[in-house]
Amino acid sequence: MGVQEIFNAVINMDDKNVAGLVREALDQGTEVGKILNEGLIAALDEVGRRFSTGEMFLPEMLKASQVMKLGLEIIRPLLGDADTKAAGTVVLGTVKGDLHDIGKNLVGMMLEGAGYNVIDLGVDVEANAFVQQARETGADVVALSALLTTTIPAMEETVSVLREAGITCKIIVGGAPVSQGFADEIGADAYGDDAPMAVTIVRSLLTA
Amino acid sequence: MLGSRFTYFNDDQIGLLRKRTFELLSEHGVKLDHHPRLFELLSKAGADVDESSGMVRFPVRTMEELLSFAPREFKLGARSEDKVLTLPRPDGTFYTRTVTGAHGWIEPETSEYRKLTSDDLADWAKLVNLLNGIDFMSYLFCDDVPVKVADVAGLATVLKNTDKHVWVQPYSPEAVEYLIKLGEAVAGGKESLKKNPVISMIACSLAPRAFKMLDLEIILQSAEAGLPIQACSLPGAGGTAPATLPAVIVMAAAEILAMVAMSQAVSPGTPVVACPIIFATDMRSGRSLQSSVEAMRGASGAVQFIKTAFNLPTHNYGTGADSPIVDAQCMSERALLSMLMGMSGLDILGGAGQLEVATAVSPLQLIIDNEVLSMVRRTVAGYTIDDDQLAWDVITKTKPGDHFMLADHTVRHCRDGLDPINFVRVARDTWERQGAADLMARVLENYRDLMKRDNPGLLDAGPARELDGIVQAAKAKLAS
Repeated sequence: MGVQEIFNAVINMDDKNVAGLVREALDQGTEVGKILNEGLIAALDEVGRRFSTGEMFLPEMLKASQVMKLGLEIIRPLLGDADTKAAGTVVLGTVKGDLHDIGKNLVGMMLEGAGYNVIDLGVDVEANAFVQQARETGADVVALSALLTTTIPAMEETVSVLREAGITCKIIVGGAPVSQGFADEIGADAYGDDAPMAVTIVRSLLTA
Repeated sequence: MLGSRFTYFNDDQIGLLRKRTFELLSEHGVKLDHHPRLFELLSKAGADVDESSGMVRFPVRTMEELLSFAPREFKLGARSEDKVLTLPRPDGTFYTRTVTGAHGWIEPETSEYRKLTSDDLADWAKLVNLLNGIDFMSYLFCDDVPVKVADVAGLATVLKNTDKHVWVQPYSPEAVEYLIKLGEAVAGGKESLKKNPVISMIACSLAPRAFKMLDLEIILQSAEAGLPIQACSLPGAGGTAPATLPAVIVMAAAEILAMVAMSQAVSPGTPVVACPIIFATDMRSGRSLQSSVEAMRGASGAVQFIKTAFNLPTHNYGTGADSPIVDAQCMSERALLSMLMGMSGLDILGGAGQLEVATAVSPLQLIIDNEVLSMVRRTVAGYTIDDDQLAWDVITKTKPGDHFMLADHTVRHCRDGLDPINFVRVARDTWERQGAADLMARVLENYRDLMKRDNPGLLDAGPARELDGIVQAAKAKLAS
């Protein structure tokens, strides 16, 4: 079985067969690096491209990411340290006073799919909890979410507490009441209109 | 109560939706934040309460009994007697209200977007008072007050500037008692507020099937205070609810019925308005949409189902747009939505003046909505079939080929039709001679004229000072 079938399985969201295809490829002597780079990662890049052009919808992209992970699990024990290193660590949460999590969860899933180590603190998160996790994990990015108009001040407070605590990583913000203007005002490094933008933003922040 | 003027569903479909709604509540239940008092009341009322997990299940018989306590006719009070609203509206049509909680303001003179202030909110309330097609209102989120009392300060501003009914969205459990106190101050005390509920309270589920402390407190305190509760379920198809609309409708109905049950367990006879506010998740971005065709279908279907199956008054978005600006998309979406919801038999069409999924408001849009909603109300109003309307004498006494312009009957009825002042009905030459103003330019002139007038709904200085005192007390307790 070749890497093209693995690539296709990810694109086609084929969660039933992807693991078997990866195993067959390994049995046939295909190099692990080839399966990873030309099968799984290349497929996810293609999924990202198709999503950005509107050919794939959000649930389809999330499902494809999940399928990619199923394939990855098979080869993970065979990968060297360099292959398995996460692209970066993102500490994620919905700010204090806000219990909404769907947008945050989408951001988390998409960042994980893109190879980031995501630490999800959940909802109604105190500013100090972000500080503690960012410090303990050496986070590259802290991502703050809010849905309610009434909780965006908590976002401002969280940014301020993070900076006062000496956390220097990038801070990104998003959610229905948040805007670029608000992000600039509170000193966040970036803002995204929607969950898919999070991956683009994090990539650009961490490669800048 | 008049039902839907059109319906998506046949009797079998309504029966299946109803069965699934009751099954969801009886076999799977809803999850409540830990609230010992409500747990106790629900348990006494016959619900199956698991305090450790917070899961509450409602056996079908219990739910039917609690549902039977909810009145099908009641009043939303107002400071002025002529602004009191009887639900369902006696003429079989609907009431209208403005958007709730938006934080963005589109400046009428410049179209610039900025954060909203308390002065804007006072102007907004004055405008609402001057627009006869808008029946009640809510407060908006003002940027110039401490966030912890944004709801209390917002309600005080509105109550000082309108004599129409106000529906209230609390932002924290601690604010609920102050909001009710503001209502009492305007109504003239606790008992007066019960008799004339000048405010009604919004309670929301946290889809899917969860209720947080804030909303449990709203239900408890409002039912105890005798206030009508607007029970809102706001699922997003494809996000916080399944992607298919029948499932969204069942889930929304179950969440609303759970709130009806809670309110009746606290105080049987508490008025409840069912608000199945259905969103659709944009599958390209994950954003919640209010005016996509799927969201409209879901909202309309949910209203039809709840009215038919449970005979509760309903309230929903009846206008609004997903567009961030006042443009052709905005007008098209709100025209489709308002007509569909009006035809669905909705009792309250909400959202007047809103843009960008209810996060921004435009006073000019409010003026347009006032006229469009009036047109929709006129469109869906039933016919009267009697001798006068049939004009039998006039028809038979007029010779073939003659005309009716001079008939007394025509003179008597020539002003029956709705005559929107901002819509053009002139020939192009006349329009050009008159300055070639488009709708927005005409509405801006209308806005300027309206705002030159005195506010007819201002609260007297004495009660206004009482409201200020309550806001100060709330600030001292909540924002210090």
